[in-house]
Amino acid sequence: MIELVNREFVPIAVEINHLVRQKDDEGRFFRLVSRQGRFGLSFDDALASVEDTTWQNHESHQGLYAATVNGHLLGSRNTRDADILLEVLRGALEKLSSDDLGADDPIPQHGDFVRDDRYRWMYPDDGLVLQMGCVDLPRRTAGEPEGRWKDARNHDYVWVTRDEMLQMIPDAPSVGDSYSLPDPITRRLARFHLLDCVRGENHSWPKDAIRELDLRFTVTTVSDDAVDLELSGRVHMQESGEWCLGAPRESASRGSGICCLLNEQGFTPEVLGAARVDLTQKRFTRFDLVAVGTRWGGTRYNGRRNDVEPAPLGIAMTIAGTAHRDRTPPHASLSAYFNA
Amino acid sequence: MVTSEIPDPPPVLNASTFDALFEQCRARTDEEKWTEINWIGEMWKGRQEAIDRKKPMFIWAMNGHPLGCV
Repeated sequence: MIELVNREFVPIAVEINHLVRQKDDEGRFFRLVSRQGRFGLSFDDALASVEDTTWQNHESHQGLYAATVNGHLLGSRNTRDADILLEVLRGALEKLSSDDLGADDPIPQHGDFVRDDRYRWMYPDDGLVLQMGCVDLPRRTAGEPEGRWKDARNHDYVWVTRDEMLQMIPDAPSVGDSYSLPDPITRRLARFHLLDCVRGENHSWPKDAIRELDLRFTVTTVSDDAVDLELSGRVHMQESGEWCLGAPRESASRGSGICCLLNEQGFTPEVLGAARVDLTQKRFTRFDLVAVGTRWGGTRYNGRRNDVEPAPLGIAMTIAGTAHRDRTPPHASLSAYFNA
Repeated sequence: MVTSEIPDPPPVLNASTFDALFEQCRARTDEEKWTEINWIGEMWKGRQEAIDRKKPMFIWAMNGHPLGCV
């Protein structure tokens, strides 16, 4: 299937929380396709609806779609089953070759495109980009996660602009110097990245969830062109809320309105890291961080319905690679991310 | 919650355990099958490439970016 996708299609991966709301041609085009697939509208009805950015937003538009460049749906499913997806893709190719899909161009294919300001992320080319991984750590007494959660892990990206990064680099370092990370970066790491997303996306911590937050660099070695830093700290994040979860997919009560209420989540990691700064180029050549601690509770989407008791969680960060996918924006609200 | 009463405490994090815990927790995207697909991470950019290559699009749409945190 991988070969078929790479050979016959242009594969596109997109974040729909943005696209269903974007007031631009990128958002309109996605809505034209998804409303034919997920909601079964005709092409004309979907096209007539694309200006409406609130239509059916209480339903998930998640899924896998095959479509032409002018927005005609060729097939769609929301499935994790590779065989089912393969069937959809083969059907899409057959439809492409047999149907008259028209030469219409309802949403301009060419010309200048300007993304809706609210969703315009700018990759920090000359800044610092980290890749974060998170995973459940082994438990001594409670049962280990089973089934689909047995080897669950997730990842995200951390963005730091060049100006912000320079604020982390000491001017005249001496071994033993110790200083706090700049407050905006400390808060960004804590609120958007030191959270439990092992089983799925989680909302960022609200500002008042910060109970303890102290991240410091200590200079460990200095040479003419580099400085090594140890990163250490403690964090305590905790919030209360009312997160209602419907019955699980396999339950007979699915769709009945029965609600499992979660009302707290927390995470109390210790943090340790090692970083190296190239003083000539004023950039980090190493930035490895580990945060391990106890998490508890859960929220609407992070899959902790049956796993709310305190258990160990681990997070690691390191400088991201240079593949196209490593330019993916952080899972966060853009407006809040740089104003943590 | 009183953290001193945790039956499943986290592992000790210090200089001796750092490397092993880093390895255990780091992202492993390079080992995952979905990374063998040549994903384009933006709808508009992907559509432009499909126009140029005269190919249909295969769109993976998720709450949260599929190439990042979902």
